[in-house]
Amino acid sequence: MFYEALLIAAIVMALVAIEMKDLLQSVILLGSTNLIIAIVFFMLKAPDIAITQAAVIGGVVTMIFVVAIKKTERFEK
Amino acid sequence: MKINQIQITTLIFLFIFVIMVITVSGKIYQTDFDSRAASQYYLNNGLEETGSANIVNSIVWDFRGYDTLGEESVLFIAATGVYFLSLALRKSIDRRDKKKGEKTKSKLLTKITKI
Amino acid sequence: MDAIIRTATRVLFPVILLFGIYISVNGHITPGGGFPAGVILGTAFLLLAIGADETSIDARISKKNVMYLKGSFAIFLLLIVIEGYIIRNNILKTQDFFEIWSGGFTFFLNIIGGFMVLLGILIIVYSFIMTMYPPREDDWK
Repeated sequence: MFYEALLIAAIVMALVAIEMKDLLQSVILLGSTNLIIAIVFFMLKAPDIAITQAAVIGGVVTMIFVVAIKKTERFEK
Repeated sequence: MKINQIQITTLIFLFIFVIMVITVSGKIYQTDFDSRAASQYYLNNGLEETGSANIVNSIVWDFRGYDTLGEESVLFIAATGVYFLSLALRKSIDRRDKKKGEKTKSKLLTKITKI
Repeated sequence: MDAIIRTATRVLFPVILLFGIYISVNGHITPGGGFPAGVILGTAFLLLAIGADETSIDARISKKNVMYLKGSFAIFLLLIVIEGYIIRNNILKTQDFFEIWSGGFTFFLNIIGGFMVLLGILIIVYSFIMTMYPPREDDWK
């Protein structure tokens, strides 16, 4: 039951991240979606991929998104 | 809407490729032990031949080490491409500043925390 | 606001560095290995690029040095792979596993692979930060 609840929460968070007007909040929601995917990887007994996913998403991808937002505007019209 | 010849040929090749992928992948996910010979070999002889307790690491760096070498070279090529793109951007901004004679507001990236 | 980030960077940078080295050295015992270790070390240097002063980043890392270092490590990696054909059966092969001196080839390759990934991510982060400075004399022409 916990496994299906995590997957539904990930889908709901990704759908909410599309609808937000503030782009910085949608970047945070994308980061938390991928963090839930990392927990799902750990529950399927693959610890190497879980560590790699958490480190890559938390470190490098968020930085690239924030730099891209900084060079354009923050609020979507 | 006009469909020319190039789009038809790409669609045909894509269709054949998808059929080939589906046919090949039917042989990988079988569950009887006779057709999973490679994974059984890695499980049985992984510890003696390499000496490491982590079989995933022994597969990635020892049994299939050349694939890892190719992957590292792809990472290096991507990093080189990003560096040269940023160098071209900096040179064009510098040239624009020198032509105008004054320093325009070219701080593209202040500290990231000050959004 | 800046004082908080600067102090936190000064405290957190060696801790993250040590964690990355731990995951890369114990790659043949615990889950981990070369690639997550390189990404974690890259995160440590990314924190340094954001939280510290801009002028100090400009002075420390020169582009030519990083590229030469990466090239020399690539040659070193190729040498280890070629050497594997010669003394494959006799290097670091003890039978009592779950110890540190027992990896065989994976013990060396984890450390070098982590270092290569660190250099790659360092080049990418450096290219993003340095777009606001004009090109220097010791860059590539």
